Amino acid sequence: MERLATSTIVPSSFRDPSGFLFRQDGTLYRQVNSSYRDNYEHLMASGLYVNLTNAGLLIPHEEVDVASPRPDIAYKVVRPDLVPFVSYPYEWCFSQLKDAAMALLRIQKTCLDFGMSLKDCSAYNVQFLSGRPVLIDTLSFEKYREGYPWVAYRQFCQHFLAPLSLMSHKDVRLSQLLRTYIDGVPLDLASALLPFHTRLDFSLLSHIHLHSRSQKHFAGGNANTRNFKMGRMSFLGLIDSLESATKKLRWQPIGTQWADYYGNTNYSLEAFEHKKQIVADFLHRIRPANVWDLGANTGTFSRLASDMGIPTISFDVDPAAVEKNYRQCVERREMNHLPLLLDLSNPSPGTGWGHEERMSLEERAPADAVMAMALIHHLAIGNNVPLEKIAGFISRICNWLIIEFVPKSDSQVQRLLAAREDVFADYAQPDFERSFGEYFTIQDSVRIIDSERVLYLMVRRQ
Amino acid sequence: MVIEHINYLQALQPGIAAFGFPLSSTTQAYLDPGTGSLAVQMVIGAAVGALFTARVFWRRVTSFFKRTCFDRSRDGKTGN
Repeated sequence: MERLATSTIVPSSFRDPSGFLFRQDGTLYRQVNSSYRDNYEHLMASGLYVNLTNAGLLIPHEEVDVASPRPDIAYKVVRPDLVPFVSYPYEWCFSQLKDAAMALLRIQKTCLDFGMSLKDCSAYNVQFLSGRPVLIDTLSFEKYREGYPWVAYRQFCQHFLAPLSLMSHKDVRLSQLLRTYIDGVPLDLASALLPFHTRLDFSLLSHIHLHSRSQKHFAGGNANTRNFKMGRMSFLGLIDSLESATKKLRWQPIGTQWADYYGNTNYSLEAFEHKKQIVADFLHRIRPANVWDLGANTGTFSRLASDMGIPTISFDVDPAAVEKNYRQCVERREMNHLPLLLDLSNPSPGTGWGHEERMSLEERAPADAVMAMALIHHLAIGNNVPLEKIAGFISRICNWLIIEFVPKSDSQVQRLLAAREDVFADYAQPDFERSFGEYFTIQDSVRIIDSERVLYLMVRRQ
Repeated sequence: MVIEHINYLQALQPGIAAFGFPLSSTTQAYLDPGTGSLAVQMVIGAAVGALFTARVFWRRVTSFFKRTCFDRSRDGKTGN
């Protein structure tokens, strides 16, 4: 047998025998295997592909004549539109996960009109493009077979309904279970964690609690699934039920420390405006290809970049801040701004099989420019990370850096030190410049008026 | 409590046939659908499928009457 050209096959693309992703000369391609031919032809010829791509629900692709790493099993090679930044469900806020779920259910309903059905329902098959959730797996469709139950039902419940109901009814931070459980939250765990009153809700009783019990009951696997039957109206009713269950799950981003941050700062209006002006000036000078705003809060400074047309990602540790930011993105129909949840003191690692299925944050770098406004003191004092380590990490994820130094005398730093001993003898402006100077060249620095804070523009040393 | 006695899944299966068709073979998808997940969705599908059918039927009835009334009122206006 011919040896696989594994060096070009995308490591996460191995579960579905219908095809795989591979890279060639820096371009991403998808091979459609011969075994998937009928389904692919039906997708393209039935009008479903055109319908879904026109609705912005499925990533468009182009059929190309490119040599594949596995020509022996190839039917076609396609080049999908590029996803500029791959994000994962554990980096999404509540509404992002909910919007992704609703998009997949809408796709499934459309599929049925064209005689097809989704054969998987992985949250990892959805990405945010131009501010909207889009299915990126062209091979997720199969011809609908009359009488068959929905093969992706379990996956939908584990990837979407379980985490969303936990976030809505228990604690929004439970989205982080998705980081551990790569195939979604186990339903017995969701059922055990959800409060009792969710058993009084027919949708959650059936799709989570009863579903979990059924999984336990049939765990031996000795039932004959050939006898399992499900007509079209039942199938449609199930999708409709999942849609209404998902739709009514809600979460309000209130009362967290960071979501109300700008209402509680020590900034004067003049200082705040001056800071915005300096950041805008720096951005105009360097015109970066893209920006990552670390510790972005609700995205005030990110919007300085995204409003200039620069693709921007806002990272923040607070689910409420990310939620507020995302809602604003949706309201303003922002096409080039993506808010994501990220704890910089423990950024997303490489996970899954061989640590390769889901990329770490660093593997998705570098960004052309990183912005780090009012962040350094939280990392250095709030998390005890030495300045050299902060500078070293940031230098690995960007070319340009716009960073704010917040001195110890600042009231925000004093708040961090209020209940603890000050063991940070090396936290001062000269230490900051020396530490970052090892990795970056300081191009400019401006002190913010009416404040002791300083903004720096730096470029990474080659 | 209802979720303590899931054996009724099997008891309900003949009733589900009204909304279902016999399967000729197991599904060929790469994903493991899970036996418990297949079983429970048939039960839920039977319940919500009946409601869904009723809703679709009701929608057709109301739209028929709406259309009829609309046509009559339009005809009436044309007659004037």
